[in-house]
Amino acid sequence: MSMDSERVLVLGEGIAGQAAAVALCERGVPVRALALEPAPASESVANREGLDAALDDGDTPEQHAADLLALAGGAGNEAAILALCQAAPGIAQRLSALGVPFERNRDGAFRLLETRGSSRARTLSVSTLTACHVSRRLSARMRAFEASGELVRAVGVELMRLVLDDSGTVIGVVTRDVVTGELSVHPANGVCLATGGFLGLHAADQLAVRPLGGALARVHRAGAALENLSSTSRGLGYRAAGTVRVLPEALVALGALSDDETVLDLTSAQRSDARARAGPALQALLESTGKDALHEPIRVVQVVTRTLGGLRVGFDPVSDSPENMATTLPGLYALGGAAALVRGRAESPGTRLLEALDGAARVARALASYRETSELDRAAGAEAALEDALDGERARIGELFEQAASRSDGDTPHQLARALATAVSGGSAEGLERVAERLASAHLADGSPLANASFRLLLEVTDVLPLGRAIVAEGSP
Amino acid sequence: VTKARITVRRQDAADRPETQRWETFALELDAQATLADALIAIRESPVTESSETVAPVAFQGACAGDRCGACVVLVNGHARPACRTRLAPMLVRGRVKLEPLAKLPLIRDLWVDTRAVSESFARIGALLSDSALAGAPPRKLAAIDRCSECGACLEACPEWSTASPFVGPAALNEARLLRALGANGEVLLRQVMADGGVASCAKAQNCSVVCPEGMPLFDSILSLQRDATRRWLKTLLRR
Repeated sequence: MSMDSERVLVLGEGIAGQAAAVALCERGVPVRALALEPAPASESVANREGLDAALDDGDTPEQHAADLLALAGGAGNEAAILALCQAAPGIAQRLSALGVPFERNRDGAFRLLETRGSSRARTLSVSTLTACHVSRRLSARMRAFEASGELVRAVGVELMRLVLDDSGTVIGVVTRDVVTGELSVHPANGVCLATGGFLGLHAADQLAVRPLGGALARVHRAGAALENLSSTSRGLGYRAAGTVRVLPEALVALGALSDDETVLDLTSAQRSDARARAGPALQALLESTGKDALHEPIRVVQVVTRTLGGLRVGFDPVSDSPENMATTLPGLYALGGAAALVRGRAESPGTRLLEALDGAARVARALASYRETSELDRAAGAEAALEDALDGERARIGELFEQAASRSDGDTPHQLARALATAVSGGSAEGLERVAERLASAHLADGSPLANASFRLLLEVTDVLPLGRAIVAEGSP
Repeated sequence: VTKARITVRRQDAADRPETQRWETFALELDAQATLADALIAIRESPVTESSETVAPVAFQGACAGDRCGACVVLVNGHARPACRTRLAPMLVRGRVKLEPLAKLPLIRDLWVDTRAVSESFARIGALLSDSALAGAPPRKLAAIDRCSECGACLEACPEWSTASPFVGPAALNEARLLRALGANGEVLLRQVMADGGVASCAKAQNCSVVCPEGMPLFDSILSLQRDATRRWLKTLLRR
């Protein structure tokens, strides 16, 4: 077997992916890290939250876990949450040793900030750039492993398909280069998915088009089970220019909601107060609907702001167990936003970073054990399975491209992505069906496969649509 | 409301120079809009001034949070991050010109390959190894701990090119930071003194001016030069 097929594939280069790649290299496991975007552009690095750890005098991991469980409203894996909280102080120390300049008090101890949903102060931070600093240190560690050859890294590629052998074990992936459109197949002894959740699916209020969760949809298609899709955060939104935008909670709290929850009355709110708390949102509302919410009641709709679910992964208190962070597909592991392990109905700020870093340590131990037990010389059919998957994917994508490039009217993929996000946020099954119809007549402005961002998005919308259906079906109250 | 005509230099791929062209988009955006907002508007509706529908302009920049450094482009010839640059002040007679960074390899349109930056870190050995970790840098060095690997300093540096031996300001800044972190300082200093290190800097100081993170890059180079001179004197005296 060549070196390549012995590498663990780490997909995604946010905090979770970087930390997993580093943790695996530190255990002597050779890694190939593939990502769509380089680390600085990822969602988790842009996250401005801090890192929670029970480091205060008299604070305990048990207390921390109890607070998180209360926030999660009973959902979420209790044992996993406790393990996460127990690991937190160690993770903070380790990051500090790596050079993350956490703010400190005069006496040199970590400065802890008040934490939402808790009476204790347990948030460590580096102003609002905690994740950014953590990522920079992890990047520096990755570069060192890259220089010594333990790590091979590439960005600008995205996962298109998992390759399974006859026994259903994941033996590699097919990826697509977003610049050239070229497909390649990478054999692997273990795949670690750190591609984040499906934030973009609910980002109807976002300016930029964000990742929709294509990687999650594609591993789900290969048979990996999802979990907690019904666990959604809901909020109020308003319709404007064919999309649904989310109203900030601070603004909603100032107004009175009608009994049937369709009209929000802000006219009796203190105006200066409302402007101070939610000025930009009021301005956006005025610009997009032409209505000043402080002068007339506005029509609102219930929207899903976030689905907290993800891939179902295992938890085993034995830290070396290969079951930890394992999805329902043998050989496929997931962590960070892609995994639904410790998330409940609400997500505490300060746990996202922790979850990614703790998940990385677990995944590295689990994958190291997995590799000891996985068949080194796999079934003779492995090579053939990899080639077949590549050919199959090439045919599928080629056909999609031919069709889309041959049409000269219809919606553009960007319009469809927005319509998809609007339908999912609004929990509208009919909306999704309309997206499916429009998808069949979508057209590309650009007929060249080179760095064709619109075609990339078309592929993603096509693949994510079934996932959107599942979320709407499970997520509706 | 800001009315703007945005002229973008386009090219379909690095190896297809025949596709190089300029396209102008007329937009109406709100007064606070940034260049990134303008590029997003163009992406959603890629229709030129002459009402021709064209391929969406390819550009990098996913964080939308003012910090990833991926969206640095040439704005009227100067390297600036699109997400943090307001459109209105950039307009010259209602017009602004956007080009990709010229010294980094082009991928498409405004999108360039910035891997050269992190490769330059490796070239000078600014690598964080396990053997020498000493915790957070001193507080006064926090200002140099902000590199987003955007490539703006390399673009502005008159000495750096993909072909020159000079590693560039970003890598030297990283070397200074890692020395402060306690990572194999002696080895780093030797690299810094070698060919392509601090001696190749011609002290134009453009790097400090263009850095979107406001890092005092030239100070880092000077600081390393001081350390290097001190070390050289020490070895001279020991002889």
